[in-house]
Amino acid sequence: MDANNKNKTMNSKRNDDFQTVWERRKQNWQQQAEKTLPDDATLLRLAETARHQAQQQAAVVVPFKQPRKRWIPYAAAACIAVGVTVIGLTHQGQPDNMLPVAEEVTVEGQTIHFLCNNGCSAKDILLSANEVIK
Amino acid sequence: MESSESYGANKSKAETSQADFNALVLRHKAMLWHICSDYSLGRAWNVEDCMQEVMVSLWRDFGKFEGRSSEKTWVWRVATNTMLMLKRKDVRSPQTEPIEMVGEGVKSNEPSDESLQQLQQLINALPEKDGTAIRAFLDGFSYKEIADMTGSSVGAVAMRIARTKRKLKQMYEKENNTLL
Repeated sequence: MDANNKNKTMNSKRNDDFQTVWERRKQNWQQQAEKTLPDDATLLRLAETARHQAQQQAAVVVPFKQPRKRWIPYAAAACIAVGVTVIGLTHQGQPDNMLPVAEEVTVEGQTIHFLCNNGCSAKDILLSANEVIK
Repeated sequence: MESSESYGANKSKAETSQADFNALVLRHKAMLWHICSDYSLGRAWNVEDCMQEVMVSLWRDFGKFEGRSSEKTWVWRVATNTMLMLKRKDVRSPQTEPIEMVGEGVKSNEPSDESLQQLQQLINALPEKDGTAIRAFLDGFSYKEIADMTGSSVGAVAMRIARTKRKLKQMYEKENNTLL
């Protein structure tokens, strides 16, 4: 940005009250995004890579002996500590708010199912989780 | 108990057409890019990498979409949850300094408008629930849609948005008064 343009930006910034910027954000986000949006071929390449990445994920089953309410938050923390993405939580079909850091972990009895997508082995998770729970 | 087959590559997903997925990505490309760019602002994140993470989540959940909300709402929610997860992980990871990119052909991921950029950074600094509600509102979702997304009542969403907007206004004006 040259000096003149920079001055113009700075001047316009001084003149923008909050409501003006608020409305601009509300009305123009799509145009703003389109300024830097890659072309469709690039997006489809990313989609293709994402599909491969998703298919490489492995389900990991970690059995715990302690009551569920005690170990779930720690197990989730342990999984995240070793780089596992925890992607969701359900229990008897109901969302569970105990695990705000996780979006989806399937729990049945005393078994918790995590998805691992960073090349982390079940052993890594188990060791790390057990270490945290101790 | 579900077998491992039901994760990541379950039958419905395996049967899901790649063409349908590609079409979904292209239908919502501006919104997806916008969400990734917004969350990346001020962080050493590559927007394309974020986009790929979001697509992993979308692909993984593609077969689970039941049409209980609009497709746009569902895509927004999956993308936002993915970015929130990256943000939480980032907080726990060592911070890195972005390398300044120079040269032709490098597109900036940041809004060209300085005021907008400032507003976006203030939104990024909000508590998670406030930030999510305000983003959804600014991205054009109704109170009812936001209430459905967040599991709140319409009244609670309206109150949260009004309160957060007031807070943002104060933050914005305070920063600008300090700058002037």
